[in-house]
Amino acid sequence: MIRIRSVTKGYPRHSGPDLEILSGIDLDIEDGAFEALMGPSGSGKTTLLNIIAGLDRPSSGEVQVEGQELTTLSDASLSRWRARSVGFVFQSFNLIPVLTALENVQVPLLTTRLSTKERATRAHTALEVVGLSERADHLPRQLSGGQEQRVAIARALVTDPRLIVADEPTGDLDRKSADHIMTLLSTLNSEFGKTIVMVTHDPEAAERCKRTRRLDKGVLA
Amino acid sequence: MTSLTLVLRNLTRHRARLAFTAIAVTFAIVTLLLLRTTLWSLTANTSEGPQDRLATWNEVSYAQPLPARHAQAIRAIDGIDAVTFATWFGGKHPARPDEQLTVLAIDPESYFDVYTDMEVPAEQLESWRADRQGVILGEGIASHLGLGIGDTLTLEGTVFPGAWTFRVQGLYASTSNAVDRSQILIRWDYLNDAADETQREQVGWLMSRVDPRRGTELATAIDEQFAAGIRTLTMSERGMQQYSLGNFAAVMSALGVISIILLLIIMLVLGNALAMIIRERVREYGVFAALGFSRRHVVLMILGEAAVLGALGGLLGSLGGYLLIDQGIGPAVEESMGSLFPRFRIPLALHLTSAGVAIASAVAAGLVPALSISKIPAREALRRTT
Repeated sequence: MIRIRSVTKGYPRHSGPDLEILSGIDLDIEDGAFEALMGPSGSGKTTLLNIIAGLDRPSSGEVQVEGQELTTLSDASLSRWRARSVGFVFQSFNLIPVLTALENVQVPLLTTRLSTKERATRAHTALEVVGLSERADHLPRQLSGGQEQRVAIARALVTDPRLIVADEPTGDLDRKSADHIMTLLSTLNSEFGKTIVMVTHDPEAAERCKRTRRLDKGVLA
Repeated sequence: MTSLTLVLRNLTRHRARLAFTAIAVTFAIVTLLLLRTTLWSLTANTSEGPQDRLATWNEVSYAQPLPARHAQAIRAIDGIDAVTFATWFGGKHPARPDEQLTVLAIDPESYFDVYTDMEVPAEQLESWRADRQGVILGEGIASHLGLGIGDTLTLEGTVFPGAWTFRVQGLYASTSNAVDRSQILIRWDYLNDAADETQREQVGWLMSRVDPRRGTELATAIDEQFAAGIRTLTMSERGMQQYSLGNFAAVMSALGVISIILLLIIMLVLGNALAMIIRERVREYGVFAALGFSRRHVVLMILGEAAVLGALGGLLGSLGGYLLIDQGIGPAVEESMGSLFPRFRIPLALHLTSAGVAIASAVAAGLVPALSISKIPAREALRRTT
């Protein structure tokens, strides 16, 4: 599913050598995996997740996801690839405040050629999967944090990608809501066959994953 | 949900800001419409007036009269379809001494054969021709003075001193924007008979109807006809109007400059609103990028919002302009200043242009911030807190 070889990532500084965030990362993640990436702040977890999801480019190295080499794609091609191949879940949900739950879930479908009716049908289905179909017409401010994150997960699912990446999906939630979200992600992995890569600081959330990898100072332990 | 839903919902996030922006653009568009309508109305005579009329004046000055017999001589020139003449009467309404009235003494038999764009009902024209003290009023001035058929109109003569009483026998209308609807048309023969000996058998100017393709040739022929006597200056009616408008050249240039300043104000108002909108949503644009929206999508989304904002301002401005000008000051201007502004209404093309200007200004104002925001890497945009 994911094959990463010799990936480095650095950012230029005002003076001196580049600030190196990732150093020589080699990583293989199997199809159907459910993995947690852990490590201290600044260790490069989110950067690695962004590179896997095609949201950032490595300074060097190869990144293959589902057989597609991402480093050779143009920005526009990478956007198209992201739209059909990856679902994103963010720590702070990032729902559009003026759209209802149903409309938020439809946002990724606006770049497709689906009809308005088909988009609505798919979004309803995604909301049913996360158990929120009865909240379809609610605005984000009318939902609890846990419900907002479930809507965000429905939004990640609606294009039916094989890969879901989640950056601290339980970071803004209380324990009970975090457990619900982890249960939902586990279900998506076990019953819907989604490959899930998740960055987390939360050991309890990491325990629910099939595998945990640790990153420290840009190097996989 | 469609992209338009997203654009509209985004626009209404801050309703107070939307309202203030739309109101500011509306005021600017209304002012722009007022300026452009003024310019359009001033030049309507030269751009929309008929092309088949030649005006003949005394070569010395517009104020100098010509002999009435010149009409016969012009009529004899090959290619002249019809000839008429008129004289400036220069009357004042006793109850409205400050108002400038356009009172012309015209030849009852030939005037409307040349001015074919002025329409008088046949029976009214017949009544006027049968009444030497009859007067035909433009619809605008009739409404302004509150006069109708059968009413009496008394004027204080300035060029021809004394109190002159007329009976309203007809009203003229026109479908042409170039026709002054504020004219008061009395009979030249009545004036001629009543005038002093020194003022008889004289006219202010002559007007000929010709084939427009032969206009220049016939204008020369007319002036050559009188080369040996009281010399004339003949030019097309449009040319004459352009000559008159020369006096307003500076004012018209100033109005043009103010129009451009207004466009810049519209762009600044919209640009400021859009810059605020964009700054507040950097993180969201990062989310859109993460969800597969390309740079082009993000730019189009912002420009779509800009276009709708501009269209809203343009629409409200157009409506405001219609209410202020077409339903408000326009009729009053036509009635009291019809010789300068024969038709003071917003042309449809100007409505459409102003709406287009509002949309184009908004899109132009949004283009630079939209392009710059789309260049922010998604990972960086997602880290922004505002």
